[in-house]
Amino acid sequence: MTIVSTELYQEIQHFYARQMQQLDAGLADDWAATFAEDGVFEANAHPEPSVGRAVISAAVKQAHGRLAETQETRRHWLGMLTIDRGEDGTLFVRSYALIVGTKKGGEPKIVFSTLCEDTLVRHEDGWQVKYRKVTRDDL
Amino acid sequence: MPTIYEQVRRFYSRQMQLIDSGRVEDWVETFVDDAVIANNANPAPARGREVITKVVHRIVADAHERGLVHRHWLDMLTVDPIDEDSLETTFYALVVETAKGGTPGLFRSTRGRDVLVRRGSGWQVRERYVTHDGS
Repeated sequence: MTIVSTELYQEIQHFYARQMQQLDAGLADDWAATFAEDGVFEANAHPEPSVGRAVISAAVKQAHGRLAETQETRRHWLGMLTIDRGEDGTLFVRSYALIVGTKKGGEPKIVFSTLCEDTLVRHEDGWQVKYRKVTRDDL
Repeated sequence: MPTIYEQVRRFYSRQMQLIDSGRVEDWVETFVDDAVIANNANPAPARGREVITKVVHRIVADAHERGLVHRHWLDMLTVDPIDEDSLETTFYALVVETAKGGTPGLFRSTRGRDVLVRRGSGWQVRERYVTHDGS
């Protein structure tokens, strides 16, 4: 494991800011494109991991649709990142995310506190999630 | 090599993740052998790794038994050099607490002040004073 440069660290922070905003905006296809073609999304809230972009995208569409029905806006705040780089350049990123939910006319609440463990791989001039594991603290 | 400010930020992210994961032995390695930790809620400071480890094991075990997960979010960081090999830092930390089957809430809001000393290519805490808001 090697120490990553300032530039790379910021690149990764930027990656997550964009990715979380895409998720909150319900941009399911843009979001799915931040995963590798055969990327995996595993979560302790889901019975089975989502495998591949098509499945990952469909899951986001469904979740966003449910929130639209209940008129709830969600914001993912991700931080406290640690980044380790493997020999082949693969990045192992561990972070926390708080999900703030606000119903129309209501007060914001922290809906979930989570741990996010990612394996990121280089793709063209950016990064993609090869494997994501999300652990909700309440489960 | 990242800037000192960045090194310190990353040091804290890793340190907070270690404690929240219950990895007390790895966490205490981020302190020097004779480190001192104190807070405004408890007038007796904990001195040295052995004592610190004992105290923190108890805190971690207690949270675990009660089915609580804590996440330390640290930010608003200031870093000032004391000399070539030591730094004074100040920061805020929010502790988010989630019970099994429960909704996350803010368990604690704090301000910390540390003295960090250089060790190899990284840093260690020599002194920590934490102010728990409302205590």
